[in-house]
Amino acid sequence: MTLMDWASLPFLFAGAFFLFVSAAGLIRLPDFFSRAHAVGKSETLGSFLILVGLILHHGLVLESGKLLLITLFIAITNPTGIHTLTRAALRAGQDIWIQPQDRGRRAKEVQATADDSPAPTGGGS
Amino acid sequence: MTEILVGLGTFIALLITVSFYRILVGPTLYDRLLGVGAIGTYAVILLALIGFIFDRPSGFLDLAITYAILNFVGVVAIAKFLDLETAQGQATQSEGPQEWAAEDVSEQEEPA
Repeated sequence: MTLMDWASLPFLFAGAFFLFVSAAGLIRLPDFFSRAHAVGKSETLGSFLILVGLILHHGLVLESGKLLLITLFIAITNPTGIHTLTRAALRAGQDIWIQPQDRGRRAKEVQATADDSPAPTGGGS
Repeated sequence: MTEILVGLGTFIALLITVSFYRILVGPTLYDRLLGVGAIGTYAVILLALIGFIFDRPSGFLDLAITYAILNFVGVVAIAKFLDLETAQGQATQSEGPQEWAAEDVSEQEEPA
């Protein structure tokens, strides 16, 4: 374990944590848009941190240039892909999940915002 | 250091296995597509880690770049196709992010 290996360890573990948060959000969150939010942000940050940790581990050679390329590419394309998917889902009229105590109060507001289905039942998964 | 990378790769493989839940039982088509995109990004990181574990990072990083590009193109192409299908279903032109709110979004059932 050299010094750069020790320096890369916090990045690797933080990246693993954010990837775990992303997978947990993908499994547990109640509707499509919140799942897309979990994947789009947390997975981008987690992969960014893990690839930066690998760059620190490997040092400045050609492979770290490739890693930097992958990092920049994922940081640009992952939110773009999720955004395109979310826009398609929003235009197709997906149900938007609302907190159970807010369902009656916010139904009219959500209808005015999203022009969605009349009863925002949403609900579990 | 190799042991840590192996542990990290095993953890990411576990996350991929868990993410298959959303593809298998996702209530809508969009959920399944979201799971496919997430697994694609996990696979890119797993490929980079495998390259460093086997001490042959150059070839595996080329594979990771290719996989990232193909994953992005696949997700955007399918999302654009579904968007086009929606637009044809409601038989109106909906280009631009402001105009969809004023239109009547049709109630078409997603193929689950």
